[in-house]
Amino acid sequence: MGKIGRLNIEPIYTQIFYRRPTTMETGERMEIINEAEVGTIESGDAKVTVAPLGGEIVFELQSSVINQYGRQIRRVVMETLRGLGVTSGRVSVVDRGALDCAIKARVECAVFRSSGFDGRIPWGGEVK
Amino acid sequence: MTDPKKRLRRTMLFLNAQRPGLMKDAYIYGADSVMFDLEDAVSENQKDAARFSLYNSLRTLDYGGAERIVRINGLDSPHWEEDVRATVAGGAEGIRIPKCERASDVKSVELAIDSAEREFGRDAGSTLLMAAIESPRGVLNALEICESSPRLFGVALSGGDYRSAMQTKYHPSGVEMLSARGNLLIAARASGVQCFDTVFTDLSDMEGFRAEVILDKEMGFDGKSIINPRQIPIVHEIYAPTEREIMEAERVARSLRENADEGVGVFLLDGKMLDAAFLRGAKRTLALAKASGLYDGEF
Repeated sequence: MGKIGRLNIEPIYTQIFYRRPTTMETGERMEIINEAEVGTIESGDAKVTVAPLGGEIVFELQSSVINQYGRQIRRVVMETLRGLGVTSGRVSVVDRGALDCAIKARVECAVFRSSGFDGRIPWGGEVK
Repeated sequence: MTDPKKRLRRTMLFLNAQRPGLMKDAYIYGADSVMFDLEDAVSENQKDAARFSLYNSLRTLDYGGAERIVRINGLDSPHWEEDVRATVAGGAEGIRIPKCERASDVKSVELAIDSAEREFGRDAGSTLLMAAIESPRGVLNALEICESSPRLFGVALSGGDYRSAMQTKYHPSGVEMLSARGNLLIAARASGVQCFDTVFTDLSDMEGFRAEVILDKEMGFDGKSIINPRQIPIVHEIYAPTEREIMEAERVARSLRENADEGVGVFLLDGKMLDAAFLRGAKRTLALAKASGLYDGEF
């Protein structure tokens, strides 16, 4: 907990959530292999960083509205990871008031970049 | 139901598809169409992120009735086919092809859309096309481009590259773009598609912008590409018909309908000859009046 950056007026809080994969999520497709970063800290956006980690998902969130929306952001991130079949990795989100769809887009892109995927994106499939 | 190819498009607001903060508020500004840009506004190493952002915005956000068009990357890039897939999967109404120079450019994108509509279960033919003309060759081939696809609803002039290719630059009189604007309009009208003028990039010169929009309207353009929300009300104000024009258009439309009911095709109204050819203009005036909140009559 604490201020980050001299231009920030609002306090930005950090929380870390640990989550172990469930059997539902195993055996699916995408995997966090390399560190990857997507997004910005502009207003209305989120910067998402993913990195490999064995056996569990670690979710870290920085947001000025963490008390109001922290659980919702976490839910969006976890649902997105589940949709992609990701079962382990460190996922860090710096939220700047992004809508759910923007956070989902950043997480999806970060995972695809991290996995080294170079084919046709499964729009409407794993990317719902 | 109005033909989607013929809908009102006075303003097309460009939005960087890589910036969610811009995309989420686009509906507030009241543009007739929003243009999500995957091309020039997005740096080469962010093309993938822009596509994910685009897809999720298209699937999630409500743009309040504004048409959603996507400017894909050029056919000389490795990105455009995946751009088409993301756009069609997301359900956008249309695609803008940059740097069109010949009919085969449009046909290449048309084939990719055919394939994407099948892949994602969208209605065949539901994704429309528009072609941006940015080069002297494109201007010379405007007619074949305008007639290249049943999906094509319009063509747009893109001034930056065109001026550069012509070894000229912006002039307030518009003289440097006169022949391109004229050629494109003639080709569009000859083939029954819409025609849109280029962006005005100097946001500090709103009087210059206003003068250019007046020129566009007088030349017959359907609308203009827009880069900032502040430009939208100016275009809508200039394209709004006057009270006298609205009354005249309603009289023309009513007289044509009444005479047609009696089997009369050509007649005089206030000493001026009228026939069915005048109906299109009258209906366009009334459609503009409705869009401007100035008319809610029967036509």
